[in-house]
Amino acid sequence: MMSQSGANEVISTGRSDLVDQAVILQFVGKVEPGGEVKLATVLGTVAFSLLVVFGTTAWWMLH
Amino acid sequence: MAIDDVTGASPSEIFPSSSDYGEGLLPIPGIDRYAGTGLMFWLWCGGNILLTTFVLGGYYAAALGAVGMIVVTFAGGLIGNLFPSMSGLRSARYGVDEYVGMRSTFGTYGAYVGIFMLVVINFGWVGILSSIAGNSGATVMHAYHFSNFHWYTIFALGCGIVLPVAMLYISPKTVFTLVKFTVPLLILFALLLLWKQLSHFGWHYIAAIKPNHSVSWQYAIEANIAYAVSWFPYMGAWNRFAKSEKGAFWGAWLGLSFIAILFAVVGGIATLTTGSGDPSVWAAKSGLGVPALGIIILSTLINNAMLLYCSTMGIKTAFPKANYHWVVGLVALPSIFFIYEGTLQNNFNTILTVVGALIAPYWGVALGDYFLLRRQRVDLVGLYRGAGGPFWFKRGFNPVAFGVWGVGVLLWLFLGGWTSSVTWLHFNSGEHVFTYLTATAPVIIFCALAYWALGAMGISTIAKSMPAAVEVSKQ
Repeated sequence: MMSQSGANEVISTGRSDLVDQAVILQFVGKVEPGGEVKLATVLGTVAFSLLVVFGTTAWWMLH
Repeated sequence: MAIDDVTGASPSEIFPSSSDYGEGLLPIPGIDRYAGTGLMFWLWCGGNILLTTFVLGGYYAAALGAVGMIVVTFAGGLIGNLFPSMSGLRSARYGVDEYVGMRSTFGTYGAYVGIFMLVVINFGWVGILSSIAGNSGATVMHAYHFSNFHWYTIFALGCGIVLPVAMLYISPKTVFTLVKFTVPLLILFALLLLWKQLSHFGWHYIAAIKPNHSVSWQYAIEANIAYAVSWFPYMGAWNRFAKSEKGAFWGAWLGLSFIAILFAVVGGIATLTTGSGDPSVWAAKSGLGVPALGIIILSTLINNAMLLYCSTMGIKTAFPKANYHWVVGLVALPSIFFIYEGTLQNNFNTILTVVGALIAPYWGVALGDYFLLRRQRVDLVGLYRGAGGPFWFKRGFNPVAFGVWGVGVLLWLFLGGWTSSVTWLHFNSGEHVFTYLTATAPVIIFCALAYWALGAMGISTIAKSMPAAVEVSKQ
């Protein structure tokens, strides 16, 4: 089996590929750590945060 | 090596040692990542602990008053840091460096444009941060009568160049170790400075200081967002160590935002109470001169190590055969010029202009490509292919992405050029529109949506790089 340092040595093999395809294929399906972040979750959280910031400020200014 | 190995071996079998992870270009497998959400939080907190973050709040505190300054800082910090936190998710998912992932947007060689911007900006930033450490160190040493020695050079080169390079030479993991122990201390220092201001002057006095309206709240929002998106080029290099995508996102967003808000608010209040925008004046008036030197030294160490690592990986992306340890040593050398030239104040406005005009639209296109067009799915093997691969586009460049980027740059110059010191970029009509839109955030959103729309229209240059087309070509 090939270690990371060993694999790095085959980078730029002189072919058009930037890394030996046999090396990079070993990573397929093994790189994703899981825990996908949904775009809707991100935008919803930011919208809620801003609502809290401006809402609190408005309430404070009015009182 | 047989390709059949792919299906049978676990990552740990393929890579028995992870001691050199982060020093190569290949992806880091999910099982071998070591930075959880907490560690990512401390890392990005450490990244944003800078004197410039203090200075940011002072930029507009007198104009908006205490309450206005706090509201704008919260809003600008939360919105601004969202963009880089999202852009780093591609590297968190695939374990690749920022500019390996960027090939999917701008092409194999198009990603080199991003590397160029990163490396050039880092020459300036690393030099400026080292210079601050040198000045602070020399001032304190002279105050204690240790004069007649090259204290500026010792602190600037030692803290800004030699130690960060040594850390990275050993391993990029040393940065994670450093932030874990030092960042809580740096946060305590900021809280102590805030408490001293509040206890001495009282909140009612601070809140009653009348705003002078020298700049608008839109300008203040823009300053926060432009400052935050300067993190764009750095996210991927570090996020590929994250154990999960959620950890990478929340660690980055909460870490960057927390420090941006805390430090800018502390800096803003200190500016209001002391009447000076110079952090050394605040520290001296609060009796925190020596602890302030500590914060500057530690933050310089952390930041320069983070920035130099990104430059190193960027250069390795362009020159894969380059030796990691040699690149780490050489990439810091040009910054020495900046240590002896220029000052933070002289360069800050120019840095913000460059960041806003070039970097924001470049990564805006990347956000549209990754989140809207590709729905967070990239061909991993294709990222490492050259001519004939899915991300080769036209001779290694994606002309559509570069076209949208160009329009984005022009749009930013129209909207935000008047905020720079470059007089021929001052457009009255742009300044008027700016009061409704600001500049950086709308340009990022425009570029993302424009690139998405062009991709959705089925332009062949982009369509050939999409997963469906890639699958067909493999059969």
